[in-house]
Amino acid sequence: MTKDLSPEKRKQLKQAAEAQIDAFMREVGYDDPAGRTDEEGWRWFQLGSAEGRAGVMESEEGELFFCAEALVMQLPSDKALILPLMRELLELNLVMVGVERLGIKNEMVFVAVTRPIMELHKNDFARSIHGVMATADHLDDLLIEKYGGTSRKR
Amino acid sequence: MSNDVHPYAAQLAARVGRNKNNSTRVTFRKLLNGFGYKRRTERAIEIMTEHLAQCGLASEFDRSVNLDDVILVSLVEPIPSRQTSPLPASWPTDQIDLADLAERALAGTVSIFTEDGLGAGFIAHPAGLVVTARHVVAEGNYSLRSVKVGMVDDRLFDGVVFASHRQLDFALIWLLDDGPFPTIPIADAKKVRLAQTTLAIGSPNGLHKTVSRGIVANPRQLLRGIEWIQTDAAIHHGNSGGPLVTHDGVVGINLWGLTDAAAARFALPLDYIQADIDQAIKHGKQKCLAGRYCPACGFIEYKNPSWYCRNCGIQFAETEAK
Repeated sequence: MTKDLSPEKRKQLKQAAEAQIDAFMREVGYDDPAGRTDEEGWRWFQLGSAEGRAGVMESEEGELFFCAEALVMQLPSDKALILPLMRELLELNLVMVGVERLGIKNEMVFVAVTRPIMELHKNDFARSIHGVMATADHLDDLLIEKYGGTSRKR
Repeated sequence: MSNDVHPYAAQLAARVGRNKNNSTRVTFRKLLNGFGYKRRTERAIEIMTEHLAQCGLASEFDRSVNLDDVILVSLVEPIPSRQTSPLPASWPTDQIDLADLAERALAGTVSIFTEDGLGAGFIAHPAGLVVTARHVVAEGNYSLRSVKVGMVDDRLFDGVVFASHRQLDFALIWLLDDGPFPTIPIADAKKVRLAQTTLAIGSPNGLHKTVSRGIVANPRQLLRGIEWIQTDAAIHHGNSGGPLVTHDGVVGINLWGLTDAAAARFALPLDYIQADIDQAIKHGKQKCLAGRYCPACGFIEYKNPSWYCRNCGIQFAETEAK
């Protein structure tokens, strides 16, 4: 549990985790990770049509988490689309291989991973980010095609 | 004659309502043109008189009045408040030139002001029903409830958003003032044809009362599961939510465009939302404003609102907390 560590030790752990993310960024061709990092510490990725981000976040209790998330689509406004979409998201969650999961934040559908950094091995950062981005890139076209428009007819 | 309130009569009524002496002055030529006539005929005078009477107005014009004479249009009875009469059916189209069309459409176009910026909209009913884009009245993930709405004559009114849709990107607003307000008649968007002349009206980059002309580049461009009216009429930030007008009336809401293609500006055909407009008019302003509006999905619950949105499932306490 990182919350039991000293602030200095937590800072070191966070920096080490962020260094793992930056190393993966260089591996996939982003030569300047700092240039793709926002003021909150999120590192931004692009894979095909998917856009996502990864970073280390701290809970109010002081626990450090590695988070990666990628946008899949905006939620539809039509009930006739929302209900079957919700069901399909739950069905996909059940059978998805890996640690990434589908979920809703505000009015968006995301693929995301959230894990305590103490549980992660060195390779888990790259694997998680790649899993999130690849899943989003695969699913966004399929789900937008099916649920991205409107059920209304002219 | 139908029971529809003519937009020009509504416009005159609004002017009369603003003047302390309950009257306004206008040249006979302008009055004729305002109702779509180029020449004075007995029939034109009869119809104009009826249109004015529908708004509680009267004027004195007969064969002795010259076209350039200034005549008085005055109030003969109080304007009915909170009226929810049917929509204006259409303009008399046979004699309208492009300048007339632009002036009429401009009268029914509004500016929408929020803390985040500026958009456009248009008035679809004289009691103050405004159509605009959802992204104009949205802040982050949720729709705003209150906005300021500016008329072309610079009057400013409070408006309340009561229905919207994320993907179709439209929002409906009731103005809290009773009006009557000048409207733009809604034309049949299904009848829009290739290469038909269009006008886009709005406030691009904050420049109010801007009209741009174009043609219909594709009346049914299918993108993201929605059929759009594609036009080359210039649309920029500040045009969002404004009307796309043809000689028959407003056919679409100007929403978005591709930055690198001048002929790729897109408007939502109004027939997608005709049922929402009809429902708003049927229920009337007070019932719409008393309904439970979901700021997340834009659904309005008229009866027995629950603690969650029956359309999208969001819990209202969650949206209010944000």
